[in-house]
Amino acid sequence: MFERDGANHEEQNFPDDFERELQAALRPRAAPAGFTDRVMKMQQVVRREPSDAGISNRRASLQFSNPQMWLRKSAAAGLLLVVGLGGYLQHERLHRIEGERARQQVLLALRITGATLQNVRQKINETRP
Amino acid sequence: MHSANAKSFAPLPTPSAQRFRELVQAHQSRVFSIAYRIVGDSGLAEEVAQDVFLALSRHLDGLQSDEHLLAWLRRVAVHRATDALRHRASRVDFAASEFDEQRAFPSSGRENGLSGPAANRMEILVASLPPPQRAIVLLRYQEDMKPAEIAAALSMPVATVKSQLQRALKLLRVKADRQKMEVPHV
Repeated sequence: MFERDGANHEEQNFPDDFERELQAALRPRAAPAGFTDRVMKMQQVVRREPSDAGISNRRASLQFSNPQMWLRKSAAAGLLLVVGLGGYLQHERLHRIEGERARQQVLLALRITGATLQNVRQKINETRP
Repeated sequence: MHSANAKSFAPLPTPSAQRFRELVQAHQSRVFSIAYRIVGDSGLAEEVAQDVFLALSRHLDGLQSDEHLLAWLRRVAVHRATDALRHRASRVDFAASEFDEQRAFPSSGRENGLSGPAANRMEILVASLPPPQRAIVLLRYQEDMKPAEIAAALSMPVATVKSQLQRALKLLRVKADRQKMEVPHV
């Protein structure tokens, strides 16, 4: 019974018709024509690549092995940093000027209010008998 | 001076390239068949088989004997084909029951000694199994491996292989009987 179910037939190979039919149907089939040549060509291409990661790794290693490229990238990064820092400082300066202007306006308003109150108090004192 | 294989390449083949070519020729049918019967698509199976051989070219130095090499090829073929099937399943809702018989298994059988439709029917039945059982059935009946060898190749306990095999055969028998009842003249 077990032999029929295929589990305990390590010694005797496929004793029943169904398993023999299965084995016959599952014989290896031929690979497509030209398969070996295609694999050999691909293998030659892959062998030229330094690793599995291939293109991206090669690109990365090229960037650091080429000093001109490295210099150009560093200059671009430096320029970007300078522009960014300049923009930040300019923004800070404008912010400070705005703040100062607002402070001056508040002081002026307080001064006007103080003077007005002083006038009112003076007029009240004058009209008092 | 030129060997028969040298004509397809501009440079003369090195001994290692020549050895690799011989290995590809010797095992291409086996690797392609495993991939084909797991993924059920000729184009994808060829991609998987190429991938397996490219991996082999990188690991060739570490493989000491022919048995080791054969076990490695079977194991990697099953794993890569299963991965390819999983990736494809995530892209399209693929089901073995939806196989187009002519597209998937157009000419099986004649070279096997079985009549075409009978072999085709068996391949389709195997393709309808869940992927782990499919791989076990393939290694058992295509590669003629024993359960212990399958267990080693798939890194699973022998008892699991046996129970999966038993379950797969039971399922195949039920499906085959059902088919015979539906099409009594086949």
